[in-house]
Amino acid sequence: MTTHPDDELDVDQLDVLDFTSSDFTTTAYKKVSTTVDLLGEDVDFHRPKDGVLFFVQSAVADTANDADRWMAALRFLESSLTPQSRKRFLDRACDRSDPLNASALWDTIGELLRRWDPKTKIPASQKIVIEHRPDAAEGYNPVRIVDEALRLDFIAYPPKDIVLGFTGSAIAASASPAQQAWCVNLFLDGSLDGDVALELSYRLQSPAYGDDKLDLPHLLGIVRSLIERWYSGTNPNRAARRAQASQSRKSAPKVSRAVDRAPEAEEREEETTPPRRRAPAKKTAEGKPAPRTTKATVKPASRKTSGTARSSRKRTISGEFEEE
Amino acid sequence: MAGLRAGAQPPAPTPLEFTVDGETFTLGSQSTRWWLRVLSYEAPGCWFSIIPLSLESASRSRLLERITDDSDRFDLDELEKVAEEVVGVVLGMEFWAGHRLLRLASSNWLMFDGWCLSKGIDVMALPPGRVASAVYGWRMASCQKESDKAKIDSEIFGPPPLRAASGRLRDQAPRGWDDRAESSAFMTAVSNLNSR
Repeated sequence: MTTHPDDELDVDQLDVLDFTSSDFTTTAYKKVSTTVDLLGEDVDFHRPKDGVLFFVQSAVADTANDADRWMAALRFLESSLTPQSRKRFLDRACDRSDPLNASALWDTIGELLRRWDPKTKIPASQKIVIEHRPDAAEGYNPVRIVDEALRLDFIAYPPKDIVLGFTGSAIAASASPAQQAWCVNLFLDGSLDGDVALELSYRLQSPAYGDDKLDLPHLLGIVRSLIERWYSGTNPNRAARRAQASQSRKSAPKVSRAVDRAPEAEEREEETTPPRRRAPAKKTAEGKPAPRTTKATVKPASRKTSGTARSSRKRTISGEFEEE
Repeated sequence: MAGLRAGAQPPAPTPLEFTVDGETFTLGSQSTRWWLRVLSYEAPGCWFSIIPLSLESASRSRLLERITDDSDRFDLDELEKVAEEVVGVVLGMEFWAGHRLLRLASSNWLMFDGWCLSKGIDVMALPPGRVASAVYGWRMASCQKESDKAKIDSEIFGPPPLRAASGRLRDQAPRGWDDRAESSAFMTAVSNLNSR
């Protein structure tokens, strides 16, 4: 057996190599920026450092998991946009009437990575145009959130897939409380009507608001439940579940009783009768179409607690809402 | 062609300390099996797995933070240079030469290990620099003609990949790659073409 030469050396004999950034021969490259026509609105993206692009390239590869991809996209936006344009981008992402969605984001990142690749001969300054593609999260129904103890009663609309992606990945990636608060606010902005989101945000930031008990964990639980319901990225079996639900829909009752349940059971909830298709519109006595009411029921995974609350505080998440 | 091997020197032992802008980092000791595995990766995985990924957690985070910090000039290509230099010292030769030699060992393991065993060498007990030397000796031992040796030399000690990790063209020739070496490599290539 050969002796390992390293074993014969003392720690004092270790060499130390010194590097100084200013000695490196890499030539300083000029800052480049590219204008992107992002679904009708020009946005200037600045090329971030190679290190950022390296991580983004790795993360957008097919082999990367969903959480890493969205975190890399956030890092990309943070590095390549000015604070003002980043805020505008996120505002557009939250605006449910704006066409900016996840497809547009990934198309933008892909085009910019190609444009900023040193092998690309097209000038970086040449404008990129991003076309609209449909939102992957379209077709889900709103949910009414009711919690008497926390004085919550509002309707949450499915946010766009881009908001679901950012919040779903950040919450799944065991983010810090500050990041979780940011995600909750982003989700509320993208899911609720403006005044409701503003009120909740105010209540969240004002602990001395009367006897208000609402805090981040409460909203985090609600957001998690809604993400679980709407975001396929956090649940790979969602497609199978939806197919199964579709099969059983015919035999399932149209309206189910909302189930009271304890807050801690929230993360394990299952969607049992998802309202997917519109029934034929009913008509009033005057012959005009009546407002359509759909109810979705959320109940805990554990059958032992079904129908009884395990805590003095009850929370109901019912899917009652009205469609035009 | 000796110019190509000018960078070869006795390999440094690990753990090996190095400093970047005054901050000290330590490349720890790893098994021979680990070195064979990571150096068989394609670039940039072959150096990124060593520096920064194999460093202790705080050091790794610090280097990753620097290459993504907009206000810091230290970027991906600078990190690659540090990794090339540090691992090159551990390998006792240019990083890319050592990378090619250890890839050669991994992809021809049975032949290489068998040859080493026949010479009484336990490869798995050697540090990575000594493994690289053994691979070089094994390849040279199989050459009959001087032109074959010159060809292998130019393949192993030739220039690094055309582009750095960022995708930019490298602007510097490797150590030992001067006009004479380039001329010699050109003549070798011509003679190889003529011999076909």
